[in-house]
Amino acid sequence: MIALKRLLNEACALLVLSAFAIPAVAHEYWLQPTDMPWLVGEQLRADVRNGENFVGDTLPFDPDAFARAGLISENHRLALNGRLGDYPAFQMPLQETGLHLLLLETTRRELLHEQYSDFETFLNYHGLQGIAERHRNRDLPDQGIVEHYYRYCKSFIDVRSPTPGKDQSAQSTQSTQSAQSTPDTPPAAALAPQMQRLELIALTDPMQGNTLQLQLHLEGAPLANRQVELFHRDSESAAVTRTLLDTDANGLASFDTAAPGQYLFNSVTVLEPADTSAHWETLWASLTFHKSAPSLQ
Amino acid sequence: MSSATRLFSLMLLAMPVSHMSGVQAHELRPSVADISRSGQVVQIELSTNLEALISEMGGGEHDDSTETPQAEQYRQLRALAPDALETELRQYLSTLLSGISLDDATVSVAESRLPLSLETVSIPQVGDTGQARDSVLLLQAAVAGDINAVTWQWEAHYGSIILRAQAVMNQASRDTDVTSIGLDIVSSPKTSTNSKADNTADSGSAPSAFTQYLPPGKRSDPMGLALVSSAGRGGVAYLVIGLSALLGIGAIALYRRRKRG
Repeated sequence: MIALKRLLNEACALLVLSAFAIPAVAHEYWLQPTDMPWLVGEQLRADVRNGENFVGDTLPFDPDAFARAGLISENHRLALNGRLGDYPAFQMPLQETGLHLLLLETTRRELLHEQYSDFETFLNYHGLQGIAERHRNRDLPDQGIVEHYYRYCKSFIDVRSPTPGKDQSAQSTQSTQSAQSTPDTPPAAALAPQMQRLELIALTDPMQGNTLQLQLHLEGAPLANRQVELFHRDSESAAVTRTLLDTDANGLASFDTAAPGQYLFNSVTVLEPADTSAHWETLWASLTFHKSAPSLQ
Repeated sequence: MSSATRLFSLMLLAMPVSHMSGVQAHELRPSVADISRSGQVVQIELSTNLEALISEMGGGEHDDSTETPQAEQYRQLRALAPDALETELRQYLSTLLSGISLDDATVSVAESRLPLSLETVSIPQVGDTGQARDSVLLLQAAVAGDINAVTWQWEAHYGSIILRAQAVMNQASRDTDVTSIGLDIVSSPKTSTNSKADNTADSGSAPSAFTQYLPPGKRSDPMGLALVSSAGRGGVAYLVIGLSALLGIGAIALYRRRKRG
């Protein structure tokens, strides 16, 4: 009962935090494919978005801002081509059925927190209160806090044959492989880790099942006790909910993904930068996908 | 934490946040102008957040939470149906056009301005007012045959813009300044730079398309639009020359320094 009360208190506290203290600097950055269903032979179009709670501006293809980008499927790894100013930023051919992974990493960006309170708001929003103490211990300034940050984005799409029924066997085969992903059956290429500095790895096919287990990696190793945020936008009501979980000792966190709609997972970690021109370095991982209602699958 | 407890906490912590959407972050997105020349006419296809132009909020770097008169006007415009927004545009048009300076780069500033007119406007339905709406304005300017380069500048309150001249118009070869971003693992993350310059047009290789990011209020490099005989350099009909990344999108990073983009 005490545990339940504590949980309720925490929930209430987080509700208050979310409702009244959404900080200006807590901008998620994610990939949002459009024009579903995605069919072989058609062009994938995906926006790069920057905002909060699924409300965000689209950003253009930007060769100076993109460090690594492409589309990964079972038999193909395609680089992203584009011209500065292209909207949507991702326009790529779909060549086969099955689970695909869009990937994007950005170059280094710089942010100035004019006041410590701005920085603190960002830390609180992402469950990074421990950084505040380290900030004091490192004797860093209360004003003009310089942060370097990098984005590591992934997005899953399920590509189907334009001819109904043609892709059923391929899909079910792959789904079975993905879901089981035992040592004997390697996971689908789209589910394989991509060695992003901060990476959200789906351990099962996110289109299958009612639960999705994620593993958060920092520099290739599981990152324990780090907050992962899930934003879910309901297909029908368009209501957005934000759910928080901390990774366990193995960097794992399991989320309820039964409901149809759009899913955006986000996690942030803060490092002491090797480069002395900034006080802190932050890495942002995001992972998105859309889950159709069962009748539409 | 057991999985049951974890699931329970997950349910408890799922909170409605959809009411928190707003107009924030719209000023981050640059407009895009695709510029082409056909005979004596320069056409500019301007993809833009029209509401931000009319409310003149595009150049702001204010904090998201700051309420400004422009933000309120933006919200009102964003809710308008296409016809009503076009009416607002027509009323604002003379201000907009006087705030855009398309100049003949080869003559003195005093007599360089090329008069622009609005040919067509395309405004999408209202849709989700939490998202920016992309309208397309087709602007046009008459140019004399001897003009060989133009520059672009608009008022800072219209925000940043990406200029993209169509490469070597009316020519078979169409180098469109495509960049390939690969999937190779980035072992040491590269830094966005604002000093990178694409000098391919000046290095004797095939001329590249002109592509340039402009921070609010800045003037572009000259975009070459010269009519050259087919026997000219490289057999180019219209030569487009520019330092395509002189300011670079890295400039966006500088401009956005107080915003996370």
